[in-house]
Amino acid sequence: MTATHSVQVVMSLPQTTYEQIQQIAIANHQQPEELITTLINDGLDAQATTRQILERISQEYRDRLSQEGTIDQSPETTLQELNELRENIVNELYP
Amino acid sequence: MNFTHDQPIALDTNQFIFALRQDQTYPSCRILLFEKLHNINLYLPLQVLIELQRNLNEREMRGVMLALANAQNTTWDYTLAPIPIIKKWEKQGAKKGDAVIAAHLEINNIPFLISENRHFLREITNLPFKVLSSQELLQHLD
Repeated sequence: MTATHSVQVVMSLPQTTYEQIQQIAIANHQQPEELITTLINDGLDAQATTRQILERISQEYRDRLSQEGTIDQSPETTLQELNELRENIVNELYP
Repeated sequence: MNFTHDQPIALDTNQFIFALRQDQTYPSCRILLFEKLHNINLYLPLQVLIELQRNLNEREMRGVMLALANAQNTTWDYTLAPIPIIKKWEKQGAKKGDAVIAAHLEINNIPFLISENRHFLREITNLPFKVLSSQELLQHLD
């Protein structure tokens, strides 16, 4: 879900749970809210089918590409970018 | 093409990217990834995993990995391709990147690579695997 589609939720957690979240968030250099969102999404994904997960990821990916202005780029451009990326990576991995 | 469902298949990075973009030029990529993952024995080489990581953010990558894990028939190959085999394919005219993919598939006896890159190693005649488009693969899966 992108930030533009977010809703605010007020929730209560056990103190120990929240302290655990805070500790992990600090270790991950995240805000606790970000970590809670990730944990909820991971929990939802655990219940979801492969297709549901991919549908969600695809929507998020397309939203991101729209924000970056590349959602409508031609498939030829995409293939060209992937080819260039491949050559860059192999030159890093196999110098 | 002699294809059976238990044969391992490698998906090129473009399969994932066109599927997630829902690119209208390649609708078969989406069908293959979203609907047929359970029907194929998937092999993912390190090179494709890294390319996906470079294209997707952490959250998107985690979702793809989870979806593939759910499919239950995915083999992840985290090893580097053998350099002598990369060099062999380069000597035969392959670009270095394509040579790495070819080396991954050869060393792991993967008989099929699914890619929309129609130029992938087309000039090389003795490849130990076949390159198919997602549409061609779907015709054999249905």
